[in-house]
Amino acid sequence: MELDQTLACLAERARMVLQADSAAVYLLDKSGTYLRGAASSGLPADWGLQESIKVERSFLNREALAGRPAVVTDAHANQPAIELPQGCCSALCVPLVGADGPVGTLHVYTKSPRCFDQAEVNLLMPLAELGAVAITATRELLMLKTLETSKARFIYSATHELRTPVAVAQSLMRGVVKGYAGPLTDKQVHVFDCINRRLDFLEILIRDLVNLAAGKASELVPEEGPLVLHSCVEQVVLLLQPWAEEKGVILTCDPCREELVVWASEEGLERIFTNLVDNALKYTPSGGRVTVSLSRVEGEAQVQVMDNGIGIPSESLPHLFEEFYRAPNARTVEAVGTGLGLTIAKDLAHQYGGRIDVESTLGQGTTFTVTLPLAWPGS
Amino acid sequence: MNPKTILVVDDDPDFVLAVRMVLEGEGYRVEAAANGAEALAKMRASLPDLVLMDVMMASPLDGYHATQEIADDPQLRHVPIVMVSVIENTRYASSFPTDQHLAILDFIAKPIEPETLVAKVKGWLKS
Repeated sequence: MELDQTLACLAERARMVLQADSAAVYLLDKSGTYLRGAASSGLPADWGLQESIKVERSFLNREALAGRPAVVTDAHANQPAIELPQGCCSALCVPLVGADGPVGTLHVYTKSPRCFDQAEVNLLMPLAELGAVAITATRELLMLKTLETSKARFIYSATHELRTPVAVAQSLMRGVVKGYAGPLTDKQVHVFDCINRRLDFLEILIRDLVNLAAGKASELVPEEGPLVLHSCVEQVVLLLQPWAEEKGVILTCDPCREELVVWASEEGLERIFTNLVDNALKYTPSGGRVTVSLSRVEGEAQVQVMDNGIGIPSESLPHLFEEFYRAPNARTVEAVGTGLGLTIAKDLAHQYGGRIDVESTLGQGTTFTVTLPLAWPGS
Repeated sequence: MNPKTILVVDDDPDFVLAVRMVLEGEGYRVEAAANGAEALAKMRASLPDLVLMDVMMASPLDGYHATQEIADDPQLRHVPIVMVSVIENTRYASSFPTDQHLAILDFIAKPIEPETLVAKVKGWLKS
C-alpha cells in the first residue's frame, strides 16, 4: 500500500472510531522540528496545503509529541485562540510513535464543543499505535523498492556495457574461425572453437542478467495489455519445434477449448514459456515427449509444461527458482547453463499476478504449472 | 568491374576490424568512419554503395542523428543504410526515423556471423 493510502485510511478510521466530524494526520520531518498535514477525513479538499507547522508553536502537536494526549474543548474560548482547521471547535490529538520514536500526530475534530475524555483517548491510542507501525512499514517498503529499482538499473546499464565488448570479440573470433584472417591449423581451430563457446556462454549470461534486471526495474518493463494466451504459447512451441525434432523429442501443444485472455506483456509471456519449454526439451532425452497444455482452473488460466525427462531431485526443488541455481543432474546433461531462466520466469509470473509451481519425480519427468489471473475473470 | 564500397560507421575500431576482415575477404572495398559526422563527410566526398551504421556512438553525431541528417540531404538520402546495434529489441529498432526518403534497409545485431553478414550484404546491394 502506498503511504498516502495508509495515511488516508488512518484518518478515516480515527474519525469513525470517535464518531467525530473530521480527522487529520500530521507527519514529522526528519529533524523533528516541523509537521506537515499529510492526510485528512471530513476536511475540505484544500486542507493541509498550508505551510509546515513548527512543533513548538503548536499547542496540540507539542503536547502530543511530548507524550501527553492533548484535548481542546472550545478552541475559540482559549486565549490566545488555538488554531484548528476552519469550522472546527474541539480537538483531540495523540502522538504517532514508531519503533524509532514519534513519526507524527493524529488529530480528531468536532464542529460543536465536545469534551474528549480518557475513555476516548484510550480508544484512539491503539489506532495511533497501529497507524505508526503502518507508516514505518510503508516507508521502509518504499525505501526497499527504491533501492531494488536503482540496483536493477545499475545492473541493466552495466550489462549493456558488458555486451558490447563480448559482441565485438565474438564477431572477431567468428571471422577468424571462418578463415578470414588467413588459414588455420586444426589445433588453432579447436582452440578458437573453445574460446567461441566461452564467449557464447558469456553472451547468454549477460542476456539473462539483463532480463532479470529488466524484470525488477518496473520502468523498463515492456507495455502490458490483454493477450490471448494460446497464441503466445503456440508461437513459442512453433519456434522450438525444429530443435525438438532435431533432438527426437515429440513436442505438442494442447490448446484450451475456450479463449484465455491474460494481462501481461508479449515479451514477458514469450520469455516465461520459452524458458520452460526450452528447459523441458533440454532435459528430456531422445524418444521422450514434452506436452504443453492450457486450461481454465477456478477462474484462472493455467499452462502446464509436462515432460518425461530426467526429473529433478527432491532436495533441489526448494532451490529451483533461486538465482544461479542448477540441479546436479542438470549439470551432467547440459554443462552450459546460467541458472537464471527459472528465476526470470518466476519473477515475470509474479509481475502478472501469477505463480509457477513445479512437481517432479526423479527419472520420470517434471511438470511446471504457470497460473495467471484472467484479464476478465467473469467472462 | 570496380568493387562495391561499404562504409562501416562504428566508434569501436575492433568491430570495424571484424567487419572489414570479412567484407574485404569477400572482395568488397571497406571505408570506415568513427562517428556520424565523419561518416557524413566521407559520404559527401565519395558516395558508398551501402552504409553499415552503428546506433550508439560517441559524439559528434550518433547513428540515430546521422541517419536523420542523411535523410535531410538530397545527395545522400538514396544511399541504403543498415543499422547495427548490440540491442536486438525490435520495439527499439522500430523507433528509428521512417522518413520516406531514408533508405534504412534493415537492422543487424552484434555479434555478427560472417555467413549471415555476407549473405545480407549481397542481398542489400541487389535491392
